[in-house]
Amino acid sequence: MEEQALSLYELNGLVKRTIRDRMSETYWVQAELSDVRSNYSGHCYLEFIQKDASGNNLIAKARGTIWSNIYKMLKPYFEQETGQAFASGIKVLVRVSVDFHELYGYSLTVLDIDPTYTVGDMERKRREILRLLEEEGVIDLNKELEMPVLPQRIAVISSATAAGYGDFCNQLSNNPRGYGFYTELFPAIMQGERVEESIIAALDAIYARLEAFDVVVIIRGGGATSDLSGFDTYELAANCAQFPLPIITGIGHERDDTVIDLIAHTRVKTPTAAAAFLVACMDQVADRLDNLSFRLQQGVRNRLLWEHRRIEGLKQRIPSAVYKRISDAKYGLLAANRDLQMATRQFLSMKKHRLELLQQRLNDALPKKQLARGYSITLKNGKAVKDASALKEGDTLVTLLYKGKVESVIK
Amino acid sequence: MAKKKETYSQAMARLETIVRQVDGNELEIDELVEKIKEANEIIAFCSEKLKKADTEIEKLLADKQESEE
Repeated sequence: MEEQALSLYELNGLVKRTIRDRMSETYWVQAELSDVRSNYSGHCYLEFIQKDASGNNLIAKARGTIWSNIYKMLKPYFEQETGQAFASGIKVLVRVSVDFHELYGYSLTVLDIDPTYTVGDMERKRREILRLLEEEGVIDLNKELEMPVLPQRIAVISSATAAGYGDFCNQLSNNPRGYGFYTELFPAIMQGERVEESIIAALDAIYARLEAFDVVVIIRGGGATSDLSGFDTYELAANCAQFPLPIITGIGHERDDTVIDLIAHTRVKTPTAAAAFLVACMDQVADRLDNLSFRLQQGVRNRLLWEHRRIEGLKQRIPSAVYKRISDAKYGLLAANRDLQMATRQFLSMKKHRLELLQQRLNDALPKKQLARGYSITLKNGKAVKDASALKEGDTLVTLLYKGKVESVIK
Repeated sequence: MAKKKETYSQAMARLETIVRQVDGNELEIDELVEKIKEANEIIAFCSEKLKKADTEIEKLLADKQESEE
């Protein structure tokens, strides 16, 4: 038997030759795109998928390659014709050749595309789910929940063995400011057909202990995005949308938004980002607290400083005010004294003046003063003559002048 | 001693009044000395209160920072 056994390489080589011989033509094939990625060399690698009628389960899958010389024309042409990005979730009609490689296995090489065959099954189904949720008025319910101020008690829905769960826990426990987080894992199957029932069961378990948690985090690490189909179901989306705690998802890749990403309270790309988001929520509160504490310190210190200045100001006003009051009083005293002296002097000088006037008048009345002016006094027998009729011839008169006297006889 | 129960603001209000009266020449010379004595007492009282507040607040703020570290 052993001689007839083939090596794996020989077997794969046989498959390869058989495929090349029997399937040398090219084929137009309908399939949905998944996990579309292009690398630096410009080649595009992707997966073609097909699902069953319910749309929840994959029934066929093939790796595909579009070489760069084709891809650089095909992609813009497709996008221009359809108005859609050449990305996962789109159903396409492509012409392929079928290849088999001893090491890499079965794959399809894309040669051409028909853009008129556009909207993919997956995308249409997502839209249908979203439309239903909107009709029922539940699509925004989870988004409308308020994020708790301190999201520290976290119910995690993930597969216990997934790398993403470890990343999440590490990121959370190594937060730079050392916030305490409590996490509890609600294990769930995160790929394949049982995603829906498994996550809903986890949500039910959390719901039973609602008071013990602040948020729900649904995370999943890595894997091909075609495996995300389980997240695009109506039941799961409706459960998440109406869940009473905010749900944070970190399940997909940038390329793919699952329905629960769209209805979740907050959607981030990776488990690490989910942890970073929670830490950022805490940071926000911590910053606000720091800020308030700083303002409190400033406020208290400023108030005390102000009081110190106020009391100092009043203290300094007192001496100068008192000196002013006393010196005002002194000045008043001095002024009164001066006024008194002045009034006295004035009174005295007025009296003196009046006395002088009287003296003058008295002096003016003296005979000597009259004689000096040229008047004279005539005496007869030593008596002043005042009437000419009292004189007769032969009377001797003495005339008194200012200087000397004259005797005369009347003729 | 009757001032024991007086608050800081009440004391400050009295001080403000005295200073305003002195400033505005509203006091009799006879009263002046008594009023200045009173003002000095108030200043001492308020300063003491402020000093106490200073010390206690600095202590509280320091405690808080320690507990943060």
